[in-house]
Amino acid sequence: MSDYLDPANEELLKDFFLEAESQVEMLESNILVLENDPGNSDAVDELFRAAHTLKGGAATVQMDELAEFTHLVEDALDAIREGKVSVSAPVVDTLLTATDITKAMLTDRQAGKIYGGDVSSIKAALLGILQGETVTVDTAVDAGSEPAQVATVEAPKDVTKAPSRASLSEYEILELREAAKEEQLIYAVKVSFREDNPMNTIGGIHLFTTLKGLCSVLKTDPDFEALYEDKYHPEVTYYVAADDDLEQHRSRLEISDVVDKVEIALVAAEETPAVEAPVVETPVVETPAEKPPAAETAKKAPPAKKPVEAPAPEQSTASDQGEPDAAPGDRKRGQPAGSLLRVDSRRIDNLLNLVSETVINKAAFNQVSNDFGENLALFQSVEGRYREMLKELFDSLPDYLEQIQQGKSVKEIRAEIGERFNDMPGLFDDFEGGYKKTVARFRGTAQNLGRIAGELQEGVMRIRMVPVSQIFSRFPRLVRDLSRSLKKQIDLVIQGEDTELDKSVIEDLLDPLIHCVRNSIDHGIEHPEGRREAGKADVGTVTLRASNEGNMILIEVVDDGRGIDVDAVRKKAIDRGIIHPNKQISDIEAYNLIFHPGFSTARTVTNVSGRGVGLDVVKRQIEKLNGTVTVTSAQGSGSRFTIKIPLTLAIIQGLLVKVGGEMYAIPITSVIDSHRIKPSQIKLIDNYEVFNVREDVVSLIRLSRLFRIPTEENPEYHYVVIVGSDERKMGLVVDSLIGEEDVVIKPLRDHFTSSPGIAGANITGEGKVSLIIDVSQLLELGLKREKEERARRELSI
Amino acid sequence: MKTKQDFPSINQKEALGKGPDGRAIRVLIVDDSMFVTKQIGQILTSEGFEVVASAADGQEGLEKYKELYPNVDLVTMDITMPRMDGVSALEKIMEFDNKACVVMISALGKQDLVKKSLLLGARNYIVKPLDRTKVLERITASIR
Repeated sequence: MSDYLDPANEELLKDFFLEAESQVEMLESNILVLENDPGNSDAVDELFRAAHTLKGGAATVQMDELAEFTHLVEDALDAIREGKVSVSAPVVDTLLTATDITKAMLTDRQAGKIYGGDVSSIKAALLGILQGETVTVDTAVDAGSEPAQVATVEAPKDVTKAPSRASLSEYEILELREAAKEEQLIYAVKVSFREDNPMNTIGGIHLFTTLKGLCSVLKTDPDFEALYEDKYHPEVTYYVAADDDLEQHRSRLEISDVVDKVEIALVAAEETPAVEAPVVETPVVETPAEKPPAAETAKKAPPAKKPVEAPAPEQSTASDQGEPDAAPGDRKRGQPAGSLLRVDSRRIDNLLNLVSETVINKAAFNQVSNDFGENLALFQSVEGRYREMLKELFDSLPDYLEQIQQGKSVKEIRAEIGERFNDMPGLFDDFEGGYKKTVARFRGTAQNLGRIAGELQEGVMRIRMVPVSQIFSRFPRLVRDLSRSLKKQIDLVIQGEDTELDKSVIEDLLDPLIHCVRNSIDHGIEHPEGRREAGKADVGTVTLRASNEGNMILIEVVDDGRGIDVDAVRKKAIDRGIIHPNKQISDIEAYNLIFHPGFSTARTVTNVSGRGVGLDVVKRQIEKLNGTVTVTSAQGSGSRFTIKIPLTLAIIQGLLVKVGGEMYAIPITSVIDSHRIKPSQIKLIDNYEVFNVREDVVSLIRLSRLFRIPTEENPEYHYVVIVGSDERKMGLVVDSLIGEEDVVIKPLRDHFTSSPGIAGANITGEGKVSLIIDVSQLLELGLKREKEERARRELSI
Repeated sequence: MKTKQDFPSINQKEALGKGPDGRAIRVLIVDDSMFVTKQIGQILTSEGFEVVASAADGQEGLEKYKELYPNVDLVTMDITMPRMDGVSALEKIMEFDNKACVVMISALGKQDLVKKSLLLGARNYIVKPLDRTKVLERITASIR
């Protein structure tokens, strides 16, 4: 039914989903509260409210299956609220499963599908709660419903739903009306299909395509997706918009062998108000099938209500009518809904405030510009006078010379000249004073602008900031389920959930974080017996903590489990050939070996973690966010994962460097240090250019060669920027360093996106474009590329 | 091509294979089975259709169609064929000539492919085993 929603309604749906999400979250968290404290009536009230709101919302947006299901949940909760049912473990399980199903229904709806999983057992369990008996329920939830199952739900045997399906709500008719062109008539074509056709499942589509050749199909019931299923639909209603009378095409619709009966009826749009009744009472003009040339009747059916009764002359051909509406299924798939962001209104107010300051600032600049103009005028007039006087002076020189020759004393003449031109030295004083004042004012205004721009930037960034509680809130449930399935007792402590992070970062943070927490619970925390033996409390603690550290954010996952066995890790790393047996590594380095691909120290493989793919993925994902992840541990008393990520991805500190005529920005977080070296300091080892930094040897990449920029190959000095992390670093050879600057990352589009080694672009203060270097990509790519280049150069010599 | 507007009411006695101008309707049969090709051919020629060519797979069918075009009015297209199946051939033909009149010939159990074909622009479909009246009915219905 969501096929023909106009944009305004998309909004409504978005709002609904947003709200539903928070309701489900509320359901979940309160169920967990209830589990620990069965008598908590506040929690029950909250639960009831959430379920109720959800039900109401679902009904409004016509998600029947959701409304029906949440209604059951609501009933069950009502029974609990009234004290008829006490909260026991099975009840909690049932409620949680119901929440999961609700979630799955919502996800499916968001994807434009209808949840088709089997809900009968959970329904029975919910009814069981109502009747005061507890039924255990299979907690497996069919998360992504299969299309085939959708059909089962859609099956018309559901008698109670049949009448409601046949009718159109006022709103739907309006939708149809909007979808059709103004002069078109809307018909409801009800077709019954023969069951005895060997391929009776094709009928729905067959007629669909036939109709498409004649008119625009606006909507089908059951919907297009259902028709496409391999399922027999005895009766399908097509809502179509046609330019001419559909009755004249009746013969083409009555496909022998396939179609049993065709009923064509006009849907009158203008008369719709106050219609809620089923189809029989809607202003649909029934034209019985027996009247072959029913054209007359149908034409008269919409009497006078169409001002555009003029015989539509453009009998547009079938194909171009078919175009605009295409297949209804395409529409909902085509639109990935933009994510909604909830922003504290104060932040917006703050922005507005800053904008008004900018406007004032602009006025100040105007003023300054006027002042400069006045200054210029003043300068010109003063200059004019100055020139005049100068000319006068020169002109009078011969006179004075003559006078000297005639015997006048020089002293006398000097006095005379001094008197005549005495205002000449001070001629520019006024101008200078005014000009100085204007410049000062200009500086002040520019400074102001800088401050406002900075604040604006921060303000806009802050709009994108959301509290980490958005993802932290998923963990109580996760930990509960996990600890149950692993039979461990775990207490989850969440701290600093108000810490804020950029929205785009937070979305990519969830998976790695889940992985870390799972890892802690699975590998870290011991079973109660194990803990008792180690002299610890039965209940293990996992702490999830977020905090700010400069413009980085710190997320820690701390457990008080058995910690990481350094020797086991070391041994395994050697076994797997990750490190050389003779290599001396510190404990810290050893801990971080667990992020190496293909590393898993779990002795047995569980379904939670320990397939050997895991922590390396975490590391990769975090690095994608320009962050780092490290682990420290104390054997026997727990371990700590520390994830450090920048607050935002949109602005980074960059080191600007110059290569040939080009400017590049290197993210400062990956810069280790920089050096100025003589060409003689570059050595060749095994065909690689390297250079010694203290006791380390670092291989070099010449950016000029990598990006094929012509430049001076043998200058007096090279500048080398060492980038990477401790274990993998590399020197980038550049022509010169420009300096540090805030770099606003602008994504590169289209064919640039595939350029390796480039993360984006930036516009510098002078308005030039500098490309931002993707260090991790460069590390991988650099060696290979440089080597190839060198080989080629050697060949050409 | 025949257009729906100027088509007069058919006298049932008249041969089905004649177009409105009395000219025989030209058919291209695409089927990898000789037997089916023959069968369809016989049914159609007996009603006055003219089988202008036949092809043993989709690729050949497509090439023949392009070669004959516009001197071909109807294509019967088997779905399962070597080299290029009927659905892809249909797609290519529709790309080439979006007014092409293609009728799919399908075995039972290929519902999904038939649906796909219909959506791609096939006019109609016939289910094997073929029977005379059914073939004629479907084909005449689709050339109208």
